Amino acid sequence: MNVDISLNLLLPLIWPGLFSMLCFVAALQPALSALGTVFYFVGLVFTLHALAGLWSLVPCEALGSMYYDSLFVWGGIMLTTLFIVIGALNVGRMKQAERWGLLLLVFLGALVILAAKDLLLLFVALEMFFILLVLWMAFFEEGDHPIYATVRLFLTGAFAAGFTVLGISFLFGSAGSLNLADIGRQVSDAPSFFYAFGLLMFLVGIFFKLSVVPFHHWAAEVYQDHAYPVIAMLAVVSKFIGIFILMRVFFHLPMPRELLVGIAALTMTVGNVAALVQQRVKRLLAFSSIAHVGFLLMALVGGNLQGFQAMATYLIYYTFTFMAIAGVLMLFRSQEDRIEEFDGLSGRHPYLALTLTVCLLALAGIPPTLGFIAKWKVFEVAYQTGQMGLLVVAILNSLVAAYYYLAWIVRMYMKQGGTLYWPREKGLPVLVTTIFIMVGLLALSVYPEWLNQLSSLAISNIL
Amino acid sequence: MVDTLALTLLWVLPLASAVGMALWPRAAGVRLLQLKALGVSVVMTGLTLWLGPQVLGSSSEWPLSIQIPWIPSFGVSYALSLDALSFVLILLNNVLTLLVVLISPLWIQQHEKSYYAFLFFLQAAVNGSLLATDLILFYIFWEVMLIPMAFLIGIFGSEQRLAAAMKFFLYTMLGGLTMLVAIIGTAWTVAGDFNEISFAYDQMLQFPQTHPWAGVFFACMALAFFIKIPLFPFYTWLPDAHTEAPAGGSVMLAGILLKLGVYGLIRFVMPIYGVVFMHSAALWALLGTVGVIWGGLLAWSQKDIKRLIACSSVSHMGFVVLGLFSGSLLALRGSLFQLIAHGLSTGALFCMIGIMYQRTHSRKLESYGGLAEVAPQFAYFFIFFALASAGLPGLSGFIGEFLILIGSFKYAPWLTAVSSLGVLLSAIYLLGLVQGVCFGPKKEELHFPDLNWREKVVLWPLALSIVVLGIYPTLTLRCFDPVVEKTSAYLWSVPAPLSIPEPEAEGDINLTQGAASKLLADRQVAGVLQ
Repeated sequence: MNVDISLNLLLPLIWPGLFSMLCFVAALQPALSALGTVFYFVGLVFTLHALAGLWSLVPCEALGSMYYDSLFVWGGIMLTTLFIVIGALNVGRMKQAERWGLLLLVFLGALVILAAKDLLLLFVALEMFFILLVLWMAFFEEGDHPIYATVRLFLTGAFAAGFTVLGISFLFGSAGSLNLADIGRQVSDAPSFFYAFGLLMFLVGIFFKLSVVPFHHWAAEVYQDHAYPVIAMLAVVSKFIGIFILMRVFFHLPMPRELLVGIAALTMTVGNVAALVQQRVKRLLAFSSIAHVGFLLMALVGGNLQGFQAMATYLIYYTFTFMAIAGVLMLFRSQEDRIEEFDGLSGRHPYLALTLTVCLLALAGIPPTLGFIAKWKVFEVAYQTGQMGLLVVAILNSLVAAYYYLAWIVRMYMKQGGTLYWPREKGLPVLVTTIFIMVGLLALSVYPEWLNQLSSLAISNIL
Repeated sequence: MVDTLALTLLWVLPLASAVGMALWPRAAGVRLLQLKALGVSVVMTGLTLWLGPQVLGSSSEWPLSIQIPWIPSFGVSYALSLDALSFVLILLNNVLTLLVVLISPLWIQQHEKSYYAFLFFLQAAVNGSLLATDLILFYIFWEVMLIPMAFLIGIFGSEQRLAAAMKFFLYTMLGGLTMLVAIIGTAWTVAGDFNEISFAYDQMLQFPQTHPWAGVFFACMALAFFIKIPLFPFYTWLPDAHTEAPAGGSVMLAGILLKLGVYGLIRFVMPIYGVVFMHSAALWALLGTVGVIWGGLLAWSQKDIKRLIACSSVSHMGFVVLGLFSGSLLALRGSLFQLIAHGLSTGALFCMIGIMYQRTHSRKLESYGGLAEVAPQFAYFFIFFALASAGLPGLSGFIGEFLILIGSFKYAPWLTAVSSLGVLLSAIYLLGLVQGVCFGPKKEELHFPDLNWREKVVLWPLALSIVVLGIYPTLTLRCFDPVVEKTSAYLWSVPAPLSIPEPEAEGDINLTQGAASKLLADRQVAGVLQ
């Protein structure tokens, strides 16, 4: 009985590891390399099944250092879905089996992060996620200077990891424990200077990875030189994980709210204002994703369950909308990645232009898209926690954001002379994936009660 | 069930036909497309007229009303209601859409599919926001309205269309976002710490009016409507949007979109934030008056015909705001009447400009002259609509402005006196316009054929309704009785601020003979004005 349960608890971690090994085995034999794709998806589907099976067991702890609560299961299911989407966008693009194996290991690292309650495990999982991600990225040959961008990301990430370790050691020193809950209990009475310093350093490390202002400079540079699958990975998955870490930390450790308020306001403002002047699509996406992290932090400021639910809502909306945008952009053959190439796109590809328009309106938060619901919930959290200043900043930011998204739409519908086109011979998997995402988003925006049910699952049972 | 279906059809039908237009196969031909558009708008007008007797004959507060849970956990329901106010505006919207659809084949020769699609999309959003009685639902329709209008301006407009579309969108969106904050704040204040959150209209009316945040919420929500009207300092998007929009878009913009701002004030701001409304009325009435004069002066100085009419809208809507905030029920009636009158006369003037632009491709005043000789029928209509807009007695424009002026004179004599100069101003610039276009030396190079049958079919109904409303205003005023009754009841029920004396007995001239006006004495809302 006991063994049975613990096996169930471990299955979500076993499946990705096992199937990644199978991928690597398949990579040894060139004839079998097509199997890598199959193993990847089968592994993820098994993981999904194992995660769904955990609902009846939560909340509990596993291996002494992992939380298995609703947040983990919800995040795990979201993450698995996102990886299935990323995989589907790459079908036919990633030929070698070892790339699929690497992607599965990246997934494994990310999954462990969601559950980690021990700072050391958190760090190890974070580095596993990050270093394997860099490895995976290095395989891509599309983009302007992929290797250059990969090395840049690696160096930045290694720098950030130093901060994280420094922070963890100070936290350990001040509380005598690596367990988040223990640290929280230890320091809740009188936070010492060492605790504050350790927390700050730890957060700086995370902020680097999240590309939160003022640690955001690498993002645009890396994005602009890389391919869209990588951009989707960085803008969606790594932000998803960073936000999850912050959520965990904020849940257990006392933290000055003013710091988060300031960071949130700064991040959304700098992100949006910088996006305003970008002439390259990938850079624009980079700054837009930075601005969205600002909005996510705004929900985190609430610090209560309602805030977490708003955050879950925002994550569902943001991650999938961004995936759909990446999907549409992957279809096009672009010469210079300049935004002028989109001029008059609606005449050449009306349906793709419409899809992109819907996604951009969603990112701008215009009803009736999901973006509106997410923004509304975040505003509600800010209102209820009395963050009126932040609310004003957020309103002004929404306007700025609407300007550049709208300018993009204006290009597609009201200008002429662009060169972007879709070579129809390729891109069927991408197209199908995008259609699936769009149908899902549409269903959620027609009946947002489902969205509420999805996001309330996340907070149903937090440890 | 029939209610649900009828109310839902009012916005679903145009939306569905917008999608149908967009998917219309190009091979099927433009002719069929135009016929289909005409068919849909005739059906829409018919549906509205069919609902008329039910709505206007009923004495209940909401003659037609449905409420179905939509997002129960967020407190949002699919709540639509139709009363006299929304009915009249929906009728105006659907009739104007019908007329625009009828005349558009002359104006739009390319991208017809997307033109009609956006036109119906706009119609759906406007109808939806006039029906919604859940604030989040209202907000959704309100914001969605921007999308088709921005596209109409941006795709079919003239040279500066992109900048104008952008300005229109962002300016209006700013108001929308502050309104969202007001909606959230109000709903959560009502819900308190223990109750279920709800955004239903009835629930929002429970807002404690003396709440410390009431002023902020009032300002946030009213800003959205002030921008849309547009009230004096917030008007700068309007001349650009009007000038650059295609003629059909201008008709819709002036004819119905501006009216939605007033609708929002009457439906939401007045009842929910009654106390703040009463206390701050003086300021808004003052801004309305400034708008009357400022808009008139702006219009006087324009060389561009379309811009001139756009600026005259600022002036005329200033009258409406003055009437709303003067605190006189008579002026309130006048404001409501002016909504319809201005929608018809300005809509018609934009139609005339569309007709001129289609012939000459010029909006400059100096490129016209002597049209009375070249195109007499055109000149008749042009002079007629200009006079209607200037408020010639016997035409509809006169009734609205007259009611507003005599109603508000009692409470705000100075503002009223200044505003009446606006009537003079409108006579100056509109007669100047008539002089420049229809009379004066004939321009030799001007090729200007007279009106064709299609244009006449569109202009005659507009002209007739202006005359009918002008000589028999009771027809419309009677429709507004329940609205006035309801509004005054809301203002009555709020705890009266100290500065406002007890309501007087019936004192105003009673033009309408309606039952409600006998029962209701004027509430002296803005005693501060004196």
